[in-house]
Amino acid sequence: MLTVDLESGSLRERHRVALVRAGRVARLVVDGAAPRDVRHEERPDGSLELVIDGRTHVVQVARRGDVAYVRAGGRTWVVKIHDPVADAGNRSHEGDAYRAPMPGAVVEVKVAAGDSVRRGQVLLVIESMKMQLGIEARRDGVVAEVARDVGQTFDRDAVLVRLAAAEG
Amino acid sequence: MSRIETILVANRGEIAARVIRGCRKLGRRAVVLYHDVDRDTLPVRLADAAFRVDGPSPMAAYLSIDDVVAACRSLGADAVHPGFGFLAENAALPRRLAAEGLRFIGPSAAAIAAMGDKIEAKRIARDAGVATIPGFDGVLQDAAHALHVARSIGFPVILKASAGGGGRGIRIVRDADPAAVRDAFERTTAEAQAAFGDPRIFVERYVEDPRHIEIQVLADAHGHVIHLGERECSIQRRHQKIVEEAPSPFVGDALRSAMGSQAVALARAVGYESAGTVEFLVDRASNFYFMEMNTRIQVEHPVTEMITGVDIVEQQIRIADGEALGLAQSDIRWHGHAIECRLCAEDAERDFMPATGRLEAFRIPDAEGLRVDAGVGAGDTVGAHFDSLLAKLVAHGATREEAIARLASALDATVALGVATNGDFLARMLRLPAFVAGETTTGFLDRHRETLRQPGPAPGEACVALAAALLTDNTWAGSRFAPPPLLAEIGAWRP
Amino acid sequence: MRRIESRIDTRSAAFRANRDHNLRLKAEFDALTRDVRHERAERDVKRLRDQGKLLVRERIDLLLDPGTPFLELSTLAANRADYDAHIKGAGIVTGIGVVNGREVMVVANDPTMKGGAIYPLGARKAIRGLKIALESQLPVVHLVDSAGAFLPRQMEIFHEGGHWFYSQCRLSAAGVEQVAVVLGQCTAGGAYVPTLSDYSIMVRGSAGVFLGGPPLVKAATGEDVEAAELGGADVHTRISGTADYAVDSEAQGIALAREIVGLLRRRPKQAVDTRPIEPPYYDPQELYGIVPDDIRKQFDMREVVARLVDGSLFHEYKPDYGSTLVCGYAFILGIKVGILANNGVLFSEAANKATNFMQICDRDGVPLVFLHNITGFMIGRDYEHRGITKDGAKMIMVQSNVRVPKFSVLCHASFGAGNYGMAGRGYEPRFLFAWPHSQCATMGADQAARTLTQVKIAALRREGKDPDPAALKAIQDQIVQDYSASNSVYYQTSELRDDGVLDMPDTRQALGMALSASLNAPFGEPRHGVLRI
Repeated sequence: MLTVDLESGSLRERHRVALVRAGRVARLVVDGAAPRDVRHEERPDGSLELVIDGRTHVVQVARRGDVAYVRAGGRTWVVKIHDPVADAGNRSHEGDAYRAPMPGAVVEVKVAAGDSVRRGQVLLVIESMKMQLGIEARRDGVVAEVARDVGQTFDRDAVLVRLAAAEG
Repeated sequence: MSRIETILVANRGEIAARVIRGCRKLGRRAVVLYHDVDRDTLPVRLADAAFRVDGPSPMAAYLSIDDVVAACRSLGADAVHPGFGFLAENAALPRRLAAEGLRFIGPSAAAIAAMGDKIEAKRIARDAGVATIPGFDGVLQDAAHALHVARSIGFPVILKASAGGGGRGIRIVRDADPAAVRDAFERTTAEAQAAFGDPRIFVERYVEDPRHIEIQVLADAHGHVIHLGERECSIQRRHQKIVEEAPSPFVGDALRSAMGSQAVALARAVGYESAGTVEFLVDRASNFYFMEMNTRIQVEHPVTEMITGVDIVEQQIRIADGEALGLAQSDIRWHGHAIECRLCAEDAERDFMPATGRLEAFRIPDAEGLRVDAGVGAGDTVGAHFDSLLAKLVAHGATREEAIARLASALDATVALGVATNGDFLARMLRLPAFVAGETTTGFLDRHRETLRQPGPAPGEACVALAAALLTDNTWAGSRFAPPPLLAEIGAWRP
Repeated sequence: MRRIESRIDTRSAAFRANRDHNLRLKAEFDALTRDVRHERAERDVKRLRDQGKLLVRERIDLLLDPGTPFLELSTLAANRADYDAHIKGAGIVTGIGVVNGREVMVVANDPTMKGGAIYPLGARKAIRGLKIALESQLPVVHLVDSAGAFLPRQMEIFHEGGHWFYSQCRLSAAGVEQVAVVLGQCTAGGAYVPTLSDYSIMVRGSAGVFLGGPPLVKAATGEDVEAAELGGADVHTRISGTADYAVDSEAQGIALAREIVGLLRRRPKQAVDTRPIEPPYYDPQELYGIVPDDIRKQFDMREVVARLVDGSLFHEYKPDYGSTLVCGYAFILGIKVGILANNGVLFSEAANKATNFMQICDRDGVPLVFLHNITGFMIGRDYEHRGITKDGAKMIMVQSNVRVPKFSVLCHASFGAGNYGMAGRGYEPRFLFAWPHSQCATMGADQAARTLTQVKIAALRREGKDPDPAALKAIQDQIVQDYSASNSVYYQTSELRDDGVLDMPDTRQALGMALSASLNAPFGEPRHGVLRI
């Protein structure tokens, strides 16, 4: 079951939906109601022909990521599908502390406490076993603490940088 | 005069694309300038060459006369077509171009300046024998003066920014209430200063629920001036036009002839050249009053082109070449009916708030009698820097009914996804009995606001949208959902 | 094939009497089933909700594809068990359902039953589920949430628990995939459930996998450590590598399990003969009026077959011989099966016909369905001389060794050697179901009473005493009572002597699902024992 948000004009709805495919016919279950057969076929002009409950609808769909824009029956819908697995963000208790993956030394510190950082931004660079590794922020946030200075060594799992706890 | 070979289109969006096509039709080279936000747009793709301009804001970039000149020099252009908006009605542009030895495809700086000053324009019009709205054509000194003048004109009155246009710096005062007049005067003055840099306002009688009808004129450098008939532009929202048509369902031959000759007279009076539009307000009794003259090509010019067969951009270029108008007034005939609607990136359900986003899909299918002037294509990003016009859909029919039907079905077939548009709203509006009956006055949209509200979705419509979204979702396409047929047959059973 | 001609008069007094009786039994069965599935102490449900957890059947609903069936097995396990309380379903839910189009075996703890503690019958139920999964090669989804073994009964759980994990290992070697979602505690041996699975998903905040929990650790070494730090989701997915995925909620964990099942390798199913599905011509609801209200009364099993099979179409094999056992081909939900149904006592002819028929079905790859209504083989001097024992042995020898899946339904009585010949529990049918009124034992209560009375009389006579009729009657009544209790289907199902009690009209769907599930494993090559000819 997927959680899907629908938007159209001032309408905002949320539904639990599942689609079970079987070749040209799919079965749609919306909010626990009885499954409905959906016959679907793509037309040469790119539009989608659907037959649901005996009625034929020709719709236009365009997608961007997990958002679908659907034009059906003289109305445009914005449909956002929430992938339950993808929504499992990396919000562990560990998420704010960045630990050394192996023993080594700090060669460069790129941020300071209080700095705003973006996801993917390199916080510091460590060196170990003749390899240099950039420690990147896993999310947008603010640096709470840089626990090691340039030149300092550390053991595996030592905390190198901490981000301030994220809100919400 | 020599023939213009390379034209710089100093504009963007659909009008730039339209002018480029016009240049090509005459075998001229068309080049364009652009700001980075418009780097991947249609006109830049269409032009023979493009010149990048910059500025403190995208808007400012298109308002720089220095950049226009630089673009001409860089791209080898010998003339500039300003389109509409931006520098189109800025007298400084033709002056500067003249100084640089470049040609301007439009009227003289003097004509632009004269008509650009609303107070001055009204005076010239009256002197040329054009009917004008009772009003005071001087500058209002202060609120008390405004009240005095208003009383002498007779309420209701409308206060307007002299340097204004496009629906801004306008206020109506219905009652002879000093406080209301003071308030309106102060606010309009402030708005005028902020929007146009010129605080002068004038006042005139307010014509209740008029029709907004304008006359297209063409004039060459040899003293020939003709008109191409009228356009009805009464469907407006916040004083911005959204639907225009030609001919007007209200205008008969006599009225057309009368309005036409007055428009021509005004054009002559300012020594006008090129294409221009004289706007009138028309009341129920068919009295018409001069409002303003737009010294440029207009957004809605296609409807005139479709019923007269005259290519206005082509005419502009020929006139700028120095050619004499090859058309006499008696040559102008009107065939059938044309209606245009402006497809804009706005959310009709949320008070037409401008919408932004990426046009994931954009397709307006060809149809008989349909002309589409688009400024965007699929994949383009619609930002908030400029106006929200995406494309103009213009339908021609042998009758008004046929034109309406063609335009409405073109809107139904239009696919514009990823950004909210007013397309469905326009389709509903075209089908309103009041519109079909031709009851198009400037109060139309307010009058029918409730009726035009989008009805709620029919039951089951949400399911269609959900099904469509899930069926096209590739992240789930890989999973094998189908149960073995035997189990599908049993269905949702528990012992 | 022709449609069975029904000779039932649905307006007869007998039909109505049977129907009333059977509907009463059904009402009793439905009430018990509903209670076992859905009635829980408010306190237990509240505790679950406070922990942010879902009920076991809510979890299963999230797991399974919508619009698909779930064949729950042994729902009434432990309903007559002598535990400290009624441990509904023995604290475990097992069943076959569809996840992303795949048939899977679900094994789930019920945390509302004593925190999901494992009781002896619970362990046996899980093992039974794993055995079905192994035989039919069904991927297993474990929904783990258990406080651990119910210690007061640990001597009945210890080796069973070990066998549970052993089964998981054998499943793995047999190529059967296992996905575990840890939704709660999982201690001691239980920690092996997800760890022996191919894919292990843990829910942050509630899942805990450790050989010894915090109290045990404290007691053993004095170490103070919290559950999350000891064996929570992050510890096992980041540090120890004991689990594979950490998720933030049960819904996410179950969605991830769905995704994984959807990605498991596709294997072709065993091919069998099929035809388009068709409902029975006769109404299965009529079964209530056909099956008699007394275990001793007989009826024509063909009437049952007619309300079970597609189109009520049946091709009877050797109809004029061995008439006390009906053999033939039919289709159940589109799948061709060989049906063996008792219509009286088993004589040599019937046994031999059955043996012959089973050989053909085995060679041709036709699954076998046994519909039990048997009190036993015919006994007596003539029959022994004619080899009834030998013929029974041949039937059992062939039946035991068929490579095709076997399915048994106890439709009425199923006693003694007759149960054996007809693939009773001891003969490892893939699935065995029982009807609410059915009885299964070494012998029927009456026969047991008579037999034991004879023994008693003989013993008294040896001592030179005369049997007292009243005393004898008392003994007889006592025996009948005891046997009736232990023969009762509720007792049998409580002890997991079947895979579930079925409301009679549900038998068709249950068999259809069982058949479909069994086709996930190839039949293999035929093998034969020695037949004493």
